[in-house]
Amino acid sequence: MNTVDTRADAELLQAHVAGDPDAFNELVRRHKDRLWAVAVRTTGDPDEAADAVQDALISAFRRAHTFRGESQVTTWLHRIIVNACLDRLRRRKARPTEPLPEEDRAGVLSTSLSDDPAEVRERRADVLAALNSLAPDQRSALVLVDMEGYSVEEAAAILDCPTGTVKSRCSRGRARLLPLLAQYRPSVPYVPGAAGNRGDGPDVPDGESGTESRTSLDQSHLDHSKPAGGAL
Amino acid sequence: MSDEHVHPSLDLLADHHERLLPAELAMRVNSHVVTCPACRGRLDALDGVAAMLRTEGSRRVSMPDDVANRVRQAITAEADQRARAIRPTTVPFPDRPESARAAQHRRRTPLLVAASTVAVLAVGGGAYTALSGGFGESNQGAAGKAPTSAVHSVGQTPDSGAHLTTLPQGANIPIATKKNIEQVAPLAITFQAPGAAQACIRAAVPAYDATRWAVGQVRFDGSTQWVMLDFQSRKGVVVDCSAGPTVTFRFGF
Repeated sequence: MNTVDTRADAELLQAHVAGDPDAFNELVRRHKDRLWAVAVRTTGDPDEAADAVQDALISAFRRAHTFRGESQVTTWLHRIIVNACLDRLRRRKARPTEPLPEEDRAGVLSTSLSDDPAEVRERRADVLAALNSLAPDQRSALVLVDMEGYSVEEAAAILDCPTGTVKSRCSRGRARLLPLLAQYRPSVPYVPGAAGNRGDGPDVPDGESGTESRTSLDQSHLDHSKPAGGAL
Repeated sequence: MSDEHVHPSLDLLADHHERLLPAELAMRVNSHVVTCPACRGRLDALDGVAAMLRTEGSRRVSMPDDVANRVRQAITAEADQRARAIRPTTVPFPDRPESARAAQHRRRTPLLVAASTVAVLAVGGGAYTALSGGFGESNQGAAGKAPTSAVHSVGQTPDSGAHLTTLPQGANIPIATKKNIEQVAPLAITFQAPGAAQACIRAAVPAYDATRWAVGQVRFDGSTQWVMLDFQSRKGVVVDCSAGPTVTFRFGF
């Protein structure tokens, strides 16, 4: 009869370091779906995600002794997964790619894709395609915060960067996605002239240095074109 | 030109929405937004983007079975490799203290006493064989040194640069025994103890040098303890951290 392992994640990792042959597999069993969701949404490619997850988990297996208990085990695992994904994305960027075939995109969406109406499937595919067009740093931040529901602080811990950087990556990422997904919000009074600078700017770092650089950029970020309605 | 007649870029609006702007610029953007329905609409649209992502993210995504199986097999292979690497390959330690007579006899004829517990360990791509066991406190130093001919270098670890040696299985290494040794077989070996153990190890062994000593875990006296191997001085120390830093065994190899 199978028994439920009630040990906490940190206890499992400690047991793994001490030689427990089953502890690490139990950790993976507990968290595999969420780790997979992050990987497949970050890479946008099930094959890349599978490779990244396998590499990351083997790395975690070997490096378990380096876990210092300063964060949750899941945060630590997610950090290793995200780093593996970003490494793969950076390598992929260095070589030409082809658009993901439709059947592979289905794997990114979910197992229930076929149950959705056609228009929902199309919208979901467009959302993920738009997400794939983002820079990896923006994409990973949006996957963690908007899609996986992590707090900005948790995402910052996973991505090993300041919270302000996570917020900035999210805000610029959403700005970049907006025109790509505008078709799904037809009532939005979109300002054509303002679309030339969307989500491509640098991240805004934490602290005063960001404040200073932002102040000097204010005029360049103001769009003097007339809005669609011509009100201003 | 007044800010009321220019539209903030989408980046600026998005940063404003995330409260990332400095106060002065935020006030200027805000004063525009409150009078501009178009820009308020763009802010709503940014919220809509986040909502679309949340909707997509709320859909359950399960790791496909083939991927889960593949990952499980990879981890199992890794676990098997680890198990093979730390399995004792020779006879276990005796469970009774060595008699004074036997110890005397052993000291006179060190080469008759074979290495009794030798475990092959894999570390960072390099491999070495560590002698698990050694000299008890009372007779430490009396048992002589390992024959240098039985020791040969296998290189340096990538992490620390520590110089590793290998002691081939069956090498004639004089050893001593210690009461209550059930088994000294490394469970895992590394060159950096976990943070929680560092303080204990340093307290117990002030000479411990993380850049030079290999660290592992062993079963000793019925509990899991830390073992440190200094390949320079060829000495090892077993430390029990479960009830405060305590050196439970010292040995040479």
